Amino acid sequence: MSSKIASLVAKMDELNEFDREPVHLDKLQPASRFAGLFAGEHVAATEFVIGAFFVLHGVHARDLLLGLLLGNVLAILSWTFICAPIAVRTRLTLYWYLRRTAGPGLTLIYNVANALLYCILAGAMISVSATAIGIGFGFGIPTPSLNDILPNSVEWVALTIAIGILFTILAVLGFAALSRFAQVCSPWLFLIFVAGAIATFPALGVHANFDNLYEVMRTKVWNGTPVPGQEQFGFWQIAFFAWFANLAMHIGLSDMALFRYARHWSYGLLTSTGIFPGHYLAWVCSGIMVAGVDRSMDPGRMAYTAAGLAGVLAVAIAGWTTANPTIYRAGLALQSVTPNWPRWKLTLSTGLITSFLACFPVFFVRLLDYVAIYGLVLMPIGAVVFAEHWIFPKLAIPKYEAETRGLVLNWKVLVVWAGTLALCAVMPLHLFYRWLPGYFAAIIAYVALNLNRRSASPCC
Amino acid sequence: MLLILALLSLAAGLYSALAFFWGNIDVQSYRNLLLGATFAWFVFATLRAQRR
Repeated sequence: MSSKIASLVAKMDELNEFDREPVHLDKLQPASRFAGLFAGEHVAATEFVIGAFFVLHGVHARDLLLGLLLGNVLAILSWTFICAPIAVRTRLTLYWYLRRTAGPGLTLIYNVANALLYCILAGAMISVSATAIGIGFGFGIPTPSLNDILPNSVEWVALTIAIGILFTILAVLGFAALSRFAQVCSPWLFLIFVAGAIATFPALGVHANFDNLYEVMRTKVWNGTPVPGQEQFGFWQIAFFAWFANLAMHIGLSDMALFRYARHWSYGLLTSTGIFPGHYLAWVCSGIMVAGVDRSMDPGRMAYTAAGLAGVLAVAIAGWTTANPTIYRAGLALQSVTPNWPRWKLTLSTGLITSFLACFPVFFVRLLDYVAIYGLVLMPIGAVVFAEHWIFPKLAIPKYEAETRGLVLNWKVLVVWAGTLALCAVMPLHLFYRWLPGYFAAIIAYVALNLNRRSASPCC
Repeated sequence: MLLILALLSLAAGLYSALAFFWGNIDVQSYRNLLLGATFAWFVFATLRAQRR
């Protein structure tokens, strides 16, 4: 058993070998590069669904506009003051930081958890694409309803499996080329969001001089009335959602992989180039578009009504370009537990798992909850690294316990991770709010578990 | 040059939506123009990406 673990760990380290050393100063990237990178990162297929869901959840216009503003600002500040400073000081990826702190055994568990979460997310993207392709090619396949958990028809299963396999084959054949294609798509996707919203205005009764725009938005789009069966959202749900939509990236510190190339921690502010167009304007636009189809959650029909065949293409391509790197990342994360598998076999396997998951509409119709859970599951690891990096030196607790003691798995990290998730599961709070007390609880618990290691003099 | 053509494609797509909103064109013309702008964007943006 121990030799098996050692073999897996060796394989995992081999995969990440390139990132083992801190980034050299001559490899640092200018601010313009970061601004460009982030600008295209947050306009994806999920935006067609998330903005529309806010309408279905009966949020008021004022709550939406101010809630998104606050939540997005908090997300940008989280990148700037939590993720970027640690990345700039260490120049390491989260993988290598975590390995030194928690041990290779725990990074293995983290990788598998991450891979499964990626597969579900990619599956949801395939479902979104299926709604568009079902409409665009005139298949007439009914989109699952908001309460569906299991597939509602054989045709839906056939369509999602077919699309999933197609996406998987394309990911196997050329991940790099598709990534470049995705970058080309971003500005056009943004155009479709804006054009689709403008073209929906006449159906909603907006005057040509826009003088009644806010009144229409207030009464016909975000009118404060949820559709039957949906919980009503208010200002704080919207603000928290916008904040945690990328929780794994900022608080969870996954974006250390990017920011380790930044010249200064303030580059975190550059995430605003993508966040405000993608997580503000695009969500507002998709909300307007769904109001144009009587507030029914069918991204394909919504896009077709608002933007014709170009809209259908946008939903299908956005789903594809989002699912593609997600399938690839899931494969990469799982590669550590499948030694000696070639990349194509791994991508094919994760793609098939993803295609299977895509058949289940629950991941697509409960996307907001899934996004919350996704961030929540990975958040405690970010809390552990935060405590280790900022609080341990102040309390004279030596860092990198797993590395210095040669531990395969630092049980304290595992206890904090599992304990935080258990605590969050029973918290009497809305799902969207649970990560924040959970984050502080994880930091406090991890520091408390390590207080007995305090040394006499301040260290590292 | 390709950048300018690509940006003009986006502008044409946006203008088609505005023209439909103001009642200058019908819905089918808007959809056709937006689709045309889409293809134009992909041609020019892809060519530009390949040259870089």
